Amino acid sequence: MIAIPQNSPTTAHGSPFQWTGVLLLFLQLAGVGCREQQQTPGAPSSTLHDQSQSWLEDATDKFGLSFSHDVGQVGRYFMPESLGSGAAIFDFDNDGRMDLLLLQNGGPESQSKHQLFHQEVEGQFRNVSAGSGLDVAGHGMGVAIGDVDNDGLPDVAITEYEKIRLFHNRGGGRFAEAATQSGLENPHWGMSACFFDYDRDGWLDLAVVNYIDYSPSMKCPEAQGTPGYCGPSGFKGTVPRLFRNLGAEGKGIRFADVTVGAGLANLAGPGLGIVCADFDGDRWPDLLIANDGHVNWLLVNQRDGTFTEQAAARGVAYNRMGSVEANMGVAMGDVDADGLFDILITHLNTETHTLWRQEPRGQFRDRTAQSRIASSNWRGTGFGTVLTDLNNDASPDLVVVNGGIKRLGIEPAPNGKANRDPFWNGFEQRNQVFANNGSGTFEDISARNLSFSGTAAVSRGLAAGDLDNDGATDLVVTRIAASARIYRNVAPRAHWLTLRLVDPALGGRDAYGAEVRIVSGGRRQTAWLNPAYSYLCSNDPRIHFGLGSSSRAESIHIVWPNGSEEQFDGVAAARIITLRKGTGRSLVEPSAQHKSP
Amino acid sequence: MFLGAIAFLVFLVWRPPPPPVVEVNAGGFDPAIASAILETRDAARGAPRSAEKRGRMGQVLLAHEVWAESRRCFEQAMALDPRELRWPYLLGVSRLADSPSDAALAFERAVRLSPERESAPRLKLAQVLLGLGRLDEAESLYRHVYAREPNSAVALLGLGRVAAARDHWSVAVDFLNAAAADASTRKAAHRLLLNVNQQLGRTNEAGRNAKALADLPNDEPPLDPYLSEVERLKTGEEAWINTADEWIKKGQVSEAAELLEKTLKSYPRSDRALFFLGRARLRLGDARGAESILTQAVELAPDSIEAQLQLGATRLYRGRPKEAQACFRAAIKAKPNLGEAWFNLGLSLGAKSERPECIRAFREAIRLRPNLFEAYLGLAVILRAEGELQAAALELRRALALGPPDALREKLFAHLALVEPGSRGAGK
Repeated sequence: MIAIPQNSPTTAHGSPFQWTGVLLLFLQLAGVGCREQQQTPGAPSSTLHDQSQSWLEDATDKFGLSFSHDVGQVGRYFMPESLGSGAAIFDFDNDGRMDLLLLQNGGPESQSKHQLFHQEVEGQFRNVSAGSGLDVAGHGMGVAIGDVDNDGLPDVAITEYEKIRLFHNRGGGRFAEAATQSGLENPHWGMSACFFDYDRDGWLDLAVVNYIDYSPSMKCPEAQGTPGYCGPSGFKGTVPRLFRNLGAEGKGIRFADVTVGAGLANLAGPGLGIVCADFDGDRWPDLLIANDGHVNWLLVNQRDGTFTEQAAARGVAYNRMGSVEANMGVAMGDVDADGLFDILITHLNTETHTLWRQEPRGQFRDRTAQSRIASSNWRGTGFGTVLTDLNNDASPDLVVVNGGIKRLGIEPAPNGKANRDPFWNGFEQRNQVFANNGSGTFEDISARNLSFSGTAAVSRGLAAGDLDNDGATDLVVTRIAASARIYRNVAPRAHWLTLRLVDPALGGRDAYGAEVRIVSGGRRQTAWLNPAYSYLCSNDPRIHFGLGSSSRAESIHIVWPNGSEEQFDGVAAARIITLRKGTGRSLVEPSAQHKSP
Repeated sequence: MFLGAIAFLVFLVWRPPPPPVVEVNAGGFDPAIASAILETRDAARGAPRSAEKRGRMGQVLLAHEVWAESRRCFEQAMALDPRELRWPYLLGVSRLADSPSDAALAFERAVRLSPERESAPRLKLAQVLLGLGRLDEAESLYRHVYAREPNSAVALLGLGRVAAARDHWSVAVDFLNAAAADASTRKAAHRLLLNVNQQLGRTNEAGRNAKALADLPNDEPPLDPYLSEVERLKTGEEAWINTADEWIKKGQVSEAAELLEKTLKSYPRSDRALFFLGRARLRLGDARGAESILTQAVELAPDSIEAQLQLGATRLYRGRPKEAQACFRAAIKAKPNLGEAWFNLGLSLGAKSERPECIRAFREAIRLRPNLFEAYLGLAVILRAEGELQAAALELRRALALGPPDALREKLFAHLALVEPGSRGAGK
């Protein structure tokens, strides 16, 4: 035996979703840059602030969705089953109607497989899993959607416990698994993931957040000595992975693991949530990673293929108390209409969900207290979360889905509980909806949304999207060992506009990373395109604006992912419009500083 | 007077009966915990008008996170003795998990019942109000405590937090600097100081805060006489093991070993107690004893990855690499992506014939944990032994590029100088 440097052996575990489809296709072929997909009459503005009407109704049966989440045999307290599984709202066949992918968590040997649902012309979801290629079993965790080969068809990445899978969309509802050949390999416990083009070469790269180096043999009894699920403490965190898309090299679907070279290798933590957006205003996408019981990381893109961690310096590492919390799901939106996005991260019931407002650009301040989110009389352990304008009043509202990580014995909810198996007693909690009053302060309106908030469940994933293309954002909730639910938005609503941003030069794929600014009725709104937010989920890739009492958007300004800017003519409300890069009035070409390396 | 006496007698005879003692289903609980709960329940039944007995039952339940029942006990105790501040205080603690607003109401009651000099209920209420965004009320309570105890770190930190929440940066800085000296508040204070100093444009100070933060341990929980009383009631295998683990982390290893031995007397088949005792023994220098205990742990729980790893590490420490390898291989078999096990396997392989496997083990460790600097170092050493100096230098440079801690950087440079003479100065 040779001399080994002085290292003592170490042990980590010792501490241990009308008909206009044909017209749409025609317009697409005609190369029309600005297309109207659907028009419905604008809603009267007088109902904007109805204080009594429910905003969400359970429409799971109306949509014909039947999906029951499976975690296999309970009682082993295998930790991955406690963190749930995600969902994706995406249009896999480009028919203009959102489809659904729902993940299972029964393990690789399970009969329960991930399920793909196609939305039919009548608005019903049909299970098209069999033979789709996505009907595989595993400990499904997160799902990310992105067109990795710029063929105009969205591909699917699924993170699992100790695995990642990439499914290439081959059209016709068929997906081919390509992970091994693609160079995607993630031996860790993958959670949320995000497609983004960090090097602005036109090809979507992939960031994967990993959780802990979990040991299934570790026992973590509850305080009464009864068996329980472990938390992250006692396990070492793992390194997030960054995979660069080598599409530009013309070698097909191939990625290179650039984690080390990008400067991420020294960041090991218990990651759960992620958003990819430009946090410092230089028009290059950055990464925010939410860590469970650990400081968050803000990885700022240095425009040379590397990132530097700047969360503390930019104010999002920890909360206003200087305390580190159990950071889980991440929502992003401009809650106070200042043109800058703000961030909300969900936490444990013993903590508060934290709202960091961006003020000024690149700097974030914890404004939870001012937002009144913490004033809610009841708290749950939040996972999935979205900031989306439910009543189209031009201010994003907040939705949080809850479910405990240990048994708390919280009082039953008005509509009872979701799980039949008593095993989940005590874990189940109610979901919450908060209405934005327009200036970034919120009111908990859960009590008048009992369809959404009245049932206790172990909710984890929350995905937002306009499933019925009626101009209102609907919600999909995944729940551990229970049925997934669709909540249709029935809020009294005002005018709206939905935009799909695509780049014809990139196969017509969605322009992830684009920023859209609109002016309607003199009011400015800003939104950012990337469907990866919330927790383990991918959301409707279209950008939805509530326009309040304004019946049109007077101007639309887009900053494309490569830094170029275009202005599009104003449009009337109540439309779903596709804006194609290169068809607006060019305002700014990408400067030298913003060109791809 | 006579009528008064009559009224008193009538009250004694006709006063409403006390509420029934709270029932708890302790089925499946650790026997020691179940026993403790039943004991306090019986005591409460024996003295149905005793607030103390009901409260004590609530304390035992709270200690073991039996939330709903503990609340009912405290509510009963409050009804029986409305002047005792412990019961509303602990009711507040038990409500923090689901309803901070209700918790605040309970703490408010505790504050009303407490003398002016009593800080704990005020600090607790202030913290809850601060969380709820009720800054004015929180500030008033912090100032109350600060006026009487100018050195109260919790009050100083609280006032710093209130000032920072109001963007009163200069005010915040003074309070936070004062709080940064106390072990119970220094890390939180440094985190806020970093942000406050940035807002004030004091870049250098913010940098210093950031540097200090990297080395600071977590804040110790502030003294809380009411919670301490509850903590002391924790019993059972898990509580004892957790306490021992804490003691080991704090360096109180002998005390931890003693507690673990006591635990094993009550729970002789506790592989976790054995595991922790093995660690403690190793820390105490008793490697032989540690190996014996960890061997028992592995026999009791052969699937325990933790025990296999620790036993392997102990055997390696004792200079028995072959036996250690068996443990690391068992751990890898159970969890093939465990970078740490691969690393330790690499450490245990060093004989000339084992070098190819050793190199594979270190490479696998690096693939799984790219931030494991020691694995790069181990790999470089083996590569050097194999005469592959360039490859060794490459691994050392990779490790250095990751930004290792200072002490390890020195080691890496030293080894780089061995495989690439003259590189040290240039490298630095």
